[in-house]
Order: sequence, then structure tokens, then C-alpha cells
Amino acid sequence: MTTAAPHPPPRTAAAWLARQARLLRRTTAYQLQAAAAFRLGFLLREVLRGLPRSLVMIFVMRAVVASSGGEGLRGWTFPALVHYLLLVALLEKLVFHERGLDLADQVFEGYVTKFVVMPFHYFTLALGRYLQYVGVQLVAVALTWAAGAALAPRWWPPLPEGAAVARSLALVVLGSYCFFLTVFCLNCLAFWLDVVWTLLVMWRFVGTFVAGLLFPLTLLPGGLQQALAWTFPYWTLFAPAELALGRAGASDFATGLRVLAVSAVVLQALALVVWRRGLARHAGVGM
Amino acid sequence: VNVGSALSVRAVRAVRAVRRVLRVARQLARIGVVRKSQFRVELASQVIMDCVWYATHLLVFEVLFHHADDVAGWSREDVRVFLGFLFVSDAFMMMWLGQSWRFPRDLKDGRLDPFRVRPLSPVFLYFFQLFSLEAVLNLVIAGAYLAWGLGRAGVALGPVSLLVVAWAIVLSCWARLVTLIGWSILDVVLVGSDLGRAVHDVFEAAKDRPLDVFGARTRLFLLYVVPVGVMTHAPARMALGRVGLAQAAFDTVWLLALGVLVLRLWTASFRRYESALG
Repeated sequence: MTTAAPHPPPRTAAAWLARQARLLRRTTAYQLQAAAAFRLGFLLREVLRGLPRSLVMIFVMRAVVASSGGEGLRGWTFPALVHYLLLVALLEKLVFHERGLDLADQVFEGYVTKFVVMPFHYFTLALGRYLQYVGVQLVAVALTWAAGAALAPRWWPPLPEGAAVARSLALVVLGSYCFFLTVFCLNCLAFWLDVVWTLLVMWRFVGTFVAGLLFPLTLLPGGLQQALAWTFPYWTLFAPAELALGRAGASDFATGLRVLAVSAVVLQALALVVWRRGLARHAGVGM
Repeated sequence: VNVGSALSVRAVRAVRAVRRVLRVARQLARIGVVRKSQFRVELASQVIMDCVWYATHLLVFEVLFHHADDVAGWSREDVRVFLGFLFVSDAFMMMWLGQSWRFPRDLKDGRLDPFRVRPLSPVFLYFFQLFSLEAVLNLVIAGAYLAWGLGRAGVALGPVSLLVVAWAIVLSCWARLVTLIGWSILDVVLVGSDLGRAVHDVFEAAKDRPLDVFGARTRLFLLYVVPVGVMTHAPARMALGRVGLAQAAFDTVWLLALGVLVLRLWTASFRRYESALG
């Protein structure tokens, strides 16, 4: 994500890193202020997002379990399905959403060029948005968890042990970073296509579906589930939920970490390429 | 005689108003086609996007029916009809009501003044201003799926059933319009709250599944108070013959009355709008 900076570069790598870190901290704080500007909307959006869909799916699952004889679906009893659906609704809050980044609009309107002449990398700004997003959502998840446990203790998933929470959160946060990089790459396609919101929405449909947002992926045919286990969305929601519910262990965590790390490296490299190539052909005049 | 002539004058005026609305709608459609012709990749992309959305809905139920014979009394064939209505009403929204997504933003930015001074209903001019060509293709796809679903569900396509299906489609689209306008009233009352979007997300998640998965009270609430169920559940049960004509007529009259009420409320709330609100 290098840009042609007219300012003198820092003398050492340590000084450069320190400057990027300062900028990252400040960008994160600014983004938080911007997100919280409309307080009621902010609260409603962050607390309610994803929950209604999961609640509706709980009712659907109740009907499906009843229709199948009440014995559960492939080892998932109805209470276990309720726990799973509530957990993925909470964890999904941590998955980077495409509305967190407006790079495509900046490209379309032609003002992304103003960042090119500033003494930092554009990616640092975008990364600030990711950190702000995850930071806010961690608070939202904690608050929603506490509210749910107080209001519906019978149905709310029990708090897992410390190690399971740590493993689960590690996978979700790393998976969220992969989602962020994917959204960044799709935004960069605006250099060629001008308008890319449909691609972003399509990605959301597919990404969240294959992440197991609507039902546990073990309900899928075995071959399909095994194929999805090679992709990062699988380890972003479904696997962390299984870890938190005690249905998966340390070896699954290690596998997930490997898949997510490789995906993050590949996507990071891809982001670098599309950003550089896109910027090289950008006229900066907008539409 | 005076009453008769007054009625005929009102009828003539109504016909003229409808013709004026249709003329404006035709122009909006023409402008929409011109606009979309500038972004051909985007046009194709939007068609594919909606097909992906259809596919995710179909897959959810295909997976569920792999494990159960029915979902709250709805067989696989019934659910296909249900989803057909969901897709058709969604295509209608994408075709004509795309601007509604930008309503909270336009409200905050104070961009609604022009709609107050133009010689047509502000509701029509604002919500129908953005015609989307790609949604026409999606409507064809959705309509074809609905027809296929009806065939698979054993609905014989005679004149009467065709009339009932057409009636159900109109009801579904009307419900889509009424609910979208209804949510936007919340944004006018509480500018900058995103309340309309939040309430939309809360209630509209329910419309994607047959309402029989809920208890009786929730089902009635979602059909007659916050009528999101009239977009999908009510038309599907009409087309499948799960309710009689009397029930269908009651649903229609109720939703018409609710729609008129929502339109009046929107007009009243819009009077307090000032471009300086944002």
C-alpha cells in the first residue's frame, strides 16, 4: 500500500513504525467518534444487528426438529441449536461489515488521490477502521451477552471456560481480518468497475452463508462441509461457535488458525497488488 | 343529479391524476434505463446479486427439507410458492423503491425540499424516483420461479387461479410499499436515529419464513399490525388455496385501509420536515 509521499521518510524503520502506530491510534479514535455520532442509531444498529434473523431461525428450527420426530438434527438437539444460533449472531457482530469501508466511493468520486500525497500509507487508515470496528463490536458483544444471559438464562448459551473463549475469539478476530481484506480488495475493484456495491453485497450473502450463520454446517452433506473447511468463513463463525459450545477442541483450533493465517497472508498480498495496480490507472477525476 | 355529477367530476379528476402518475412513472423508467446503460457491468452484477440472494434462500430450505418432511405444516412444494412471492415482491422493490434505502441519508442531508413543491404526491415522487432496469430481469426470473413453484405445488393454472395469483402478487407488492413507507415515518420523527432501518431489520427478518413457525399471536401481529407477513405468507396461502376467498378479501381490505392510514401519516409527518433538520 505504498503511496508517493512528498514528506521526508522517517530515518529508521522503528521511527516509521512508531509514526504508523500513532496514526493508527488516532484514526481508530476518529472512526469511533464518527460511528457514535448518531447515538440512538448507533446503539440500535450495534445491539440488534443479526439478532432478529437468528431469532426467526430458532422458530424455524423448532418446527424442523418437531417435524423430524423431536430427536434433533445430526446430533443437534433443539436447545443446542438455540445456543448455536444465538452464538453465531453474537460472533457475527465481530465480522467486518462492508459498510465499515468506503474506499470504493472515494475511488468513484475521485478524492482517494488526496490520501496519496499524505505522509502515511492509505492502508493504515483502513486498518484503523478495522480496529475501531472490532473494538466497538467486542463491547457490543459483551453487553448483548450480559443482557441475554439476564433476560433469557434458560435459553442463552452458557459462558464457556476461559480457554474456549480465548480460542473462539482468536479465530473470529483473525477471520474478521480476512473478511476486512476481502472487502478491501473488492473496494479496490472500483478502480476498474466504478461501482462495486453489488459485489460487496454478494460477498456478504455468500460469506455469511458458508460461515454457518443460518444453521450449523454439519447439517450440510458431508462432502460439502469438508470442502468448506478449506475456506476462511468456515473458521470465522461456525468453528468458533463449536469451540465455545465445547463441540470442538485444541486440534480444531490449530487447524483453523493455520487456514486463517494462510488466508490472511494471501489476501494481504492480493490487497497490495490490486491497490497498486488500481492506483496506477486512477485518473482521480471521479464520475 | 347534483350528487351524481359531483361523483362523475371526482371520477374524472381521479382518472386524470392516475394518468399523470403513469406518465411520470414512464419518464422515470426511461431515465432509469438511460442511467443503467452507463454501467453495464453493474447491471449484470445486480442481476447476479439477486440470483445469489435467491439461491441462499432456496439452499436454506433445501437443507432443512433434507432433514424434515415439512416446516410448520409447509411442504417443500408450498415453500417454493412462498419463496416465489418473496422473490417477486423483492424484485418489485428493487425495480421501483430503491431510493427508499437512501431516505434516512437524504433526510439528514436536507435533500427533500424539491419533493414538496412538485405537482405530484411527495410519496410517489420520492419513493419511485429510481427505476432499476436490472430488477425487470429479476422480476422475470422471480415470476418464472413462482410459476414453476405453483405448477409443482399442483395449482392448476386456470382463469380463476391466475386471477387469484395476480391478486396475491398485487397484495404482496402493496404490502412491500406500505411497510417501507411506514418505516420511513420513524426516520422523519427521529431524524438521525436510523430507527426506520433498525425496525425494518427486526420485523422484516420474519417475512422470509412461513409465519406458521410462530405462535398464533405473533402470526396475527405480523399479518395485521406490522403487515410484513402480507408480502409472502398471506399471498402464498391464497395462491395455494390454504384460505378461502372471504379471508383473502378481508386481508386485502385490511391492508388497503392500513396503507391509506400509513400514507396519510407519512404526509402528516413530512409536513414537519425542514431541510435544516440535518
